[in-house]
Amino acid sequence: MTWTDEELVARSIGGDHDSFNQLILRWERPIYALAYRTIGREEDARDVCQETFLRAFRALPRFRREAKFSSWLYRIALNLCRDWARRQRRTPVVQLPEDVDLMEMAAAAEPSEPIENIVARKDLTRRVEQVMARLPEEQRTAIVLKEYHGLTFQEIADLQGCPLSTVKTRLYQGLSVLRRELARSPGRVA
Amino acid sequence: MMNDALCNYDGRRDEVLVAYLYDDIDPVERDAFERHLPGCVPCRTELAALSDVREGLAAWPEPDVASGVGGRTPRAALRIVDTPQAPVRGWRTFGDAPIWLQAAAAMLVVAASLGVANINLTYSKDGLSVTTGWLRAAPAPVASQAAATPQPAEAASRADLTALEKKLLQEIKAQPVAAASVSSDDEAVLKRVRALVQESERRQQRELALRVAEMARDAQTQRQSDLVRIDRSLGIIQSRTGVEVMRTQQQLNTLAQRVSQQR
Repeated sequence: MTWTDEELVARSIGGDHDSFNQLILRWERPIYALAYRTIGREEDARDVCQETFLRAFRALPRFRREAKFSSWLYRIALNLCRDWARRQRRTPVVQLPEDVDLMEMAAAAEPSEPIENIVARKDLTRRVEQVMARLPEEQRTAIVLKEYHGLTFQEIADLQGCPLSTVKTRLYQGLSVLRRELARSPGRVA
Repeated sequence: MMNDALCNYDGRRDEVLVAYLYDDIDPVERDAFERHLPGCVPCRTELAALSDVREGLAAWPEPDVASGVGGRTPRAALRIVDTPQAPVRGWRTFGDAPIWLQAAAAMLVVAASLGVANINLTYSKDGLSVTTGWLRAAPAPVASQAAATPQPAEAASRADLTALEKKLLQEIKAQPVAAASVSSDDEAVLKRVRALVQESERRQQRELALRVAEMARDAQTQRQSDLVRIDRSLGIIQSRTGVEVMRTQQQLNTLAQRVSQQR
């Protein structure tokens, strides 16, 4: 039987740790992805992810049922990302590998796919990461939540604590910067 | 190049465009914008360009949660485990420590206790003797000297000894209150000493546990640092190997192209 988040939360509050472990299994991937794309560093994203669930576990008795569990979790993770950025006292920079991992590329390639296509795709990914890392934190977070987590504008507004129109403006500005920066490289987004 | 001045959309155009792009838009606004789009080149151009940007964003793959959260052992790090007690730094009890450490700690406690109580252990030809600083020390050298040197008292008669005994008994009976007081004082001192020893023992255990926990933490930190360094070195080696593979592949491609051209 598949429990809903809310049911698992209720059981966790009742002392059933397995239920909370199921919540972790269900949400660790999105939370880690959110942290990684917001912070850009694997090690720190892992720490943020673990700390998110630890804080959620500790604060579970104080969780207000009227909010969605996932929204509450996202809020904790984003606050931790913000704390991380504050500690770093600089704009988060995506940690890029010094060299393209060709072994990994070769393993991921389709047999019929030319190596040039693989290189081009990797290059685009790298440039997206670079431009995203240079965006202001609010714009980057809005894009990540919308693009990769499929949240509604209203949910993002609730998480970021800003009006709906501000979220849309942040997205528009962020996407416009991405469009401009990616167009500078030949052969890609016009 | 897009020219926003040509767009005459009435309303918050940028917000509506983004909302339309993500299909997260009020139906009324959608209808209005869809009526506007066919006649507005800038909006159509920008919508297409932002759609391309979204395609580019889709190229950014989701990070691998297995290597991210749980490290090389997938999903090992994030689990709530039932434990009877909250985890503490170091050993849960002192009994969990290695036996050599327990022995060292015991020696430390004994030494500290002796120091606090000012207890002196002396072993001589007369045997083991214990004295404390809280009680008046016995004049041992004088006593031993007296024992070594023959005295006239040794030659005293039994009658003399009996007389001396009676005299002493009379003196003791004459001072019963003072004797009781001395005994009471000794007990108080002993209680105080025991309390001090116990307190010292507890303090020593706490400090020892703290030191050992710090050592364990330092060792763990060093171990993690070493593992990271090893991991990086392996990554560099893999990258170099990858470059060689790519070069070989490129040479093969070039050869294949030449062969096909020659045909």
